[in-house]
Amino acid sequence: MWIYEKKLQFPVKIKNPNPKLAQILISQLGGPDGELAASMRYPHQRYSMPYKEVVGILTDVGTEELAHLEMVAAILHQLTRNLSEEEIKNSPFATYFVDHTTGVYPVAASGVPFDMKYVGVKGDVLADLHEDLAAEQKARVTYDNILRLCDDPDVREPIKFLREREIVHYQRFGDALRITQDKLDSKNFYACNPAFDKGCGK
Amino acid sequence: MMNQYRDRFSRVGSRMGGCGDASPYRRPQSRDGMLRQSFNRSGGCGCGLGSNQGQSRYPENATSHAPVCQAPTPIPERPACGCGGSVSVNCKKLMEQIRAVDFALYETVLYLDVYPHSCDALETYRKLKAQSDALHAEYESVCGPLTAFGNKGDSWDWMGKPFPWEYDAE
Repeated sequence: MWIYEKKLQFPVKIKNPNPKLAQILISQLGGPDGELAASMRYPHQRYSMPYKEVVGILTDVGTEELAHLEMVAAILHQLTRNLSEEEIKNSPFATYFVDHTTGVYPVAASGVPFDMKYVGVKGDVLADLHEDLAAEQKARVTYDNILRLCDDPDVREPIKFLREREIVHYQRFGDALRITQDKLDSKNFYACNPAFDKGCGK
Repeated sequence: MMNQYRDRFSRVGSRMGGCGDASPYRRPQSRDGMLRQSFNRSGGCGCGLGSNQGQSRYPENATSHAPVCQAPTPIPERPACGCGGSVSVNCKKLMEQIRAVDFALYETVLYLDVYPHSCDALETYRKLKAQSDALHAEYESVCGPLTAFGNKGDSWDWMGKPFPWEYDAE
C-alpha cells in the first residue's frame, strides 16, 4: 500500500504566477509522457514481473513518479494563484479555466485529457522494460522542451531536478533490462516470456 | 538549491553511475538483434563472503540469497546537545535537511533494488537511514507530523496548513 509523506521531494516556491507557462507545463501532468502516465505505467507493469529486481525498481520508481506528479501539480497550483480575470482572459489558459477554474486537472498542453492509451502493459518482461526506457527518454525530452520555453528560475529549478530524475530512472531500467537478459538464454532471448511461460530462464 | 542535492548525491551517485550525465548507450547489435547495452555497471558485493556462507537471512527455499555483509560499522550516538531545556527548532531548516537526506536515501534504495548484493550500498543505506530517522523524529516532535501516523501531541495536527504544494509551505 502507499503511505503519503507530507513534503515535496524537491521544494517548489514560485514567486510569479504565470498562466501562460502553466498551460504548457501541464503536459507533464496529464500529457502522453508525463508523470501521471509514468505513475500508472510502472506500478501496473510490476504485477506480471517474475524477478524481484524488476518488481522492486518498478515499485520504487513508480512511487517516486507519484511524488513527481505532486511536484508538477504544486508548480501548476502556484503558477495559477492570485490571478485576475483580466490576466486569464488574455491568455491561452482561458480555455482550461472555463472548465476547471484554477483546479489542477490532468490534461496535455493541447487540452486533451489524460488517457490510459499512453500507458503500455504488455505482460512481457523485455517489452515492458523497453517501454519504460523509452518513456523516461520521452519525459526527458518533454522537460527539455519546457526548459526551452521557460526562463523563470523558480520554475527552472524543480524542472531541472525532475529532468535529472528521468535520466537516472533510465539508467536503473537499463540495469533491470541487463539483469533480465542475464537470466535468459543468451542464444535466444525471445524463446519464451518469463512473465508467462513456466521454466523460462533462470 | 540544486547544489545541496548534488553534494549529498555525489557521494552516493559517483559509485552508482548515471547521475544525470549518462550518455545514451551505443553498442553494436548482436546477431539475435538484441542490443547489448552496458549501463553503468558497478556493485557486486565487496565483502568477500560467498553467497550463502554462515547464517543466511533468507529461508531455505529462497531462490536468490543476498550475501551477508560484514559487520556494519556502528553508528555513533548523537551527542547530548547540552542546551538543558527548550531548543528553538527551525522547521524550515529541518525540512531542507530532511529533503536532502531522504533524496539520497531514495536514490540508494533504487540502486539496491537492482544491485541487492552491494554491501557498499547497504552500508550507505544504513547511514542515511539513521540520519533520516533522527531528522524525522526531531521534526515530528516539534513541527508536526510527516505522515498520517506521526501525530504527536494532544490535537490532530495532520494535514494542517500550509499544505506542501502551497507557496507558504516550508
